[in-house]
Amino acid sequence: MRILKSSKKIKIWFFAVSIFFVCLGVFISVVVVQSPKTYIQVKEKFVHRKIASATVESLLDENMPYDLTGFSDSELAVRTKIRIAQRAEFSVAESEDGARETLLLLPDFQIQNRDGKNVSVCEVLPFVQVVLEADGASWNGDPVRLVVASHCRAENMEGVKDVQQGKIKIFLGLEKLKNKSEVKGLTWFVREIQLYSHGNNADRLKINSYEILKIRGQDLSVKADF
Amino acid sequence: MAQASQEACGYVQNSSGQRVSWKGQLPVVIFLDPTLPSELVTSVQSAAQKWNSSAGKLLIDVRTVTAENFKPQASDGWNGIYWSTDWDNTVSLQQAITTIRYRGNMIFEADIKINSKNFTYYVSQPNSNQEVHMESLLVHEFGHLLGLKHLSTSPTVMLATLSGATIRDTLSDQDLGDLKCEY
Repeated sequence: MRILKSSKKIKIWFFAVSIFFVCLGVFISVVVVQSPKTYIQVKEKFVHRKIASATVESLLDENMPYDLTGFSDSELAVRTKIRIAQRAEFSVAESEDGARETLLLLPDFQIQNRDGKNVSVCEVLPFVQVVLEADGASWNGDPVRLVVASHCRAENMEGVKDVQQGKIKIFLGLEKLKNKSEVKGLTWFVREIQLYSHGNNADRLKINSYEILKIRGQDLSVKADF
Repeated sequence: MAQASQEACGYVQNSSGQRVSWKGQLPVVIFLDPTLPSELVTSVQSAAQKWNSSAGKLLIDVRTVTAENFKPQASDGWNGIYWSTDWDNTVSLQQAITTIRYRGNMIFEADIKINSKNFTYYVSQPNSNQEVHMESLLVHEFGHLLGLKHLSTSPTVMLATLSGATIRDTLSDQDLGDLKCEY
C-alpha cells in the first residue's frame, strides 16, 4: 500500500514538472526570442546558416533594393547576401600623388538596429573583412591568402547624390605587393566577405565564395596586373 | 572547359579542385644559389636523389651555376634555390619557403628560399640542438616543389615542422603513395 502511494506521488510530481518545462519553453520562444533586445542575437544565428537553396533561387533574379527592413530574420539573411554578391565590384582609384589603388566596392543597404531604427548596415556592423586567395600560386603548400580588415563606412561615389547608391570602400593594398615576384600577375579571388561588430552581442554577416558564385554565376576576382 | 575536381592525394589543388604538379614537364631543373655554403651542396643533391630514386626517374635536376648567371628571384619560369640572408621578421620561425606558380593544373615555376638569417644548418653532426638538418629540410621543400602540401599524420616528410637536430629524410609509404598519384 505504501509502495502504491509513493508511485502515485511520483507520477503527480512527474506530471507537474513536465507542465513546468512546457510552460518555460513557451515563455522562452514567445517572450525572449521575440523581444527586440535579442533581435541581433537571433540574427547572428541566421547569418551563419547556409542559404537554403530553394529560397535563394526564388530570389536570384530579384534586384535587391537598398531598403532591406521589414523582412523576417531568415529572409533578411538571404537578401543581404544577394545584394552584396550582385553589386560587389572592383574599382581603381588614384591617390593625390597618382598612385593606383585597387578597391572592392560593396553596396550599402538599410537594416534595423537594436532599437528598431532604420540605419545603414555600417551602423550595426561597423567592421568589414575581406579574404582574398590567389589562384596560380602556393607557399609551402598553402594557398596565398590576403586578409584585409577595415572600418565599414558607406559613402557616395563622386558625382552621385542618391544615398541609396552608397558604397562601402575597401582598399585592398594589392599595389603594395607589386615588388613581390611571388605574387606578380596573379588573379585574386574573393573567398569571404564579413561585416561584423565587436562586443558581447557581436553580430556577423558572412558571405563565402560558394555563395558568391551561386548568386553571380561567376567568381568575384581581380587580376593584379601592374 | 572546366575540368572535374580530383582527390587531393596530398597535393595542392587549383580553384577547380584539380591537383597541381609538373605533369610531363620533367625533370624540374633547379639552380643552386652560388652563395650556398659549399658543404651543404651535397645535402641538397642527396635530397633530390631521394625523390628521384623513389619515383624511378629523374624528377629534380639540381644544377650549380656561376654567380654571374644566377638570376634573382623572379616569376620568369626559372627555378632557384636561394640562400636568403634577408628574411622578413614576420616569418622568422620558418626555415624555408617554397613558392610554386601554376597555370591550370600545371606548375611552371618553383623557388625555394632558405632562411639563413635565423637558422644554421648541418650535414651530419649538429653543433647544437638548434641546428637544422639540411637534407631533411630539402627533402621536405622538394616535396612542395613537386606540388605536395603539408600532412599532419606521421610518418611523412611533409610534416609542417622540423625540430632542430632532427633527421627526417626518408620517404614514408604515405609519401611514396602520394608521389605515385602524379609522377
